[in-house]
This record gives sequence, structure tokens and C-alpha cells, in this order.
Amino acid sequence: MSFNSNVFINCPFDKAYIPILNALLFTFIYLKYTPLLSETTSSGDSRISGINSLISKSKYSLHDLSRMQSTKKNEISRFNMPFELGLDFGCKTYGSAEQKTKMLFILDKEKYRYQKAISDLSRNDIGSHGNNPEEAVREVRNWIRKIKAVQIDSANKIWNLYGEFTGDFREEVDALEFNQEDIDNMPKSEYCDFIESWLKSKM
Amino acid sequence: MTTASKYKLLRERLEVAGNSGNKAHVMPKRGRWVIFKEGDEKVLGTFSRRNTALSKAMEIVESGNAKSVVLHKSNGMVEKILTTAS
Repeated sequence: MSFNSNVFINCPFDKAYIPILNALLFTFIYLKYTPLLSETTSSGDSRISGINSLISKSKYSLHDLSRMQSTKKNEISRFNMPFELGLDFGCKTYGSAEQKTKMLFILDKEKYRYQKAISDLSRNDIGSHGNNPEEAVREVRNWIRKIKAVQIDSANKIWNLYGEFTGDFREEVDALEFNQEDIDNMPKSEYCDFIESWLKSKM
Repeated sequence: MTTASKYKLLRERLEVAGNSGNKAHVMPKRGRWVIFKEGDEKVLGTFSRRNTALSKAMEIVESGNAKSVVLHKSNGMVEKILTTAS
């Protein structure tokens, strides 16, 4: 794993977020980045040290704050995502010379909602996806284009390819008679491996 | 076949699956529904209703220009794959 291609993804892992997460993982892998998620940290370490390790070895990071607000009665706000964003800012601010080059992208579901929740974030790279995976792909693709300043494929192309991948994945999973529970609960690191395998057929 | 060997086989099949290019997709795009064929960026039709897009996509299958239609949900995930027989 290389610092310059690693992307730390700070996001929820609930079922409702999976369509956005899957599309984001595909986008990063297609654009030659290596997504790192906190679910992949070793169980031998405390969760926080695992997250710190992922943050410290990633030049890029995506922080999705779209689920930080409680949506049900008696449910309190979810602080994990803003907390990990703070850790990442700390790493960029106080870390090594290499870590000071880190680039952070923040996503939310609404364009200016963060100003009410974390006004300190003003003037950072912030996008909104409206809980729509296609818009999440578009935001990430445009952010990569902006920071890399090289020509890359359009969001439309990436979204179509993601559609192709999901179609082929479903077809093969059905043909091999996989248990749907196993597919739905597959670790995301394994899902990323399958994306990489499929992309080999497109090279 | 063991589960481990099924995963291995899935990986191997995915490594060539993207080459087939024989499916049409009904996919959400910016609040509408588009039809495209694999390996071709050209949009074959844009519709406000998914059912209308699906009917048009099935015509592509029936004319022999695609093997099946992948019907996506509004979140991009696959709802089902249809052939003329299904």
C-alpha cells in the first residue's frame, strides 16, 4: 500500500448507506486509488488505533457526514464520522512532512448543512450527494479531477461502468448460487477485490 | 463445490465478465432513466419512467441486439436481470 494512492474512507456502514459506499469504492478503484475502511482494521488492535493507522498512511480521505444527525426519536447524534474527521485534520496539521500534504474531501447530504453543525469547516473541500450514489460518484470524480489536474474519465462513464460491474457481479453470483446473506454481508475489502478482478476485464 | 472454491471461481469469472458486452442496462441518471449497452457510452434512450425504459430495452433484447436487460433500482443497485424467457 502506498501513501500516495491510499484513500481513507470515513463513512457509516449501515444498510441504507451501502449503495453509496459501493459506488464510491468502485469510483476510487477505477481511478487507481486504494480505499481503506475502518472495518478492515485488525481485531487485535483497539478500533481507534486501527483508525489512526489508516489515517496516518492515507494521503487522501473522504469523510461522509451525511449520517451524523439522528433521524429517529430518542436516537442521539452519531459522532464517529466528525470525530474521525477531526483526527484526520490533526494528522494533517501536526503530522510528518508527508502527512502535511494530506488532502481531505468532505461529503454531506445537503450543501450547506455542515455550516450549522461544524462551522469551522468553512473553506474546505465540501460536496453534497443528496443521498444519491450517482451524485456521490460525480462529487468524488470532480474532486479527484480538481486535485490531480489531469484529464480523467467523466462521471457519466464511471457511473455506467459501475452499472456494468453490478450487472456482471449479480449474474455471476446467481450463476454460482451464492447465498444472498453471504453476498450482502461480505467484508468491503473482499468486495473491493472483486471490483479489481472485474476491472481487469476492462483493461 | 466448497464455498472457498466458489469465491475463487467468482473472481476468475469476473476477470473476463466485463468483456462480454452483451447486456443492455436501464440505469438511473440525474433523475431520469437511460438505456445503454455495455461497452458503449452512447445513451440509446432517456425516459422519465422506468417502466417505459424497460419496455424499450426489452425490444433491444427481442431484436437480438442484447442478451438480457439489467434493471437497476434508483440507487444504482441491480433489481433483476431479464431475458425474453423471464
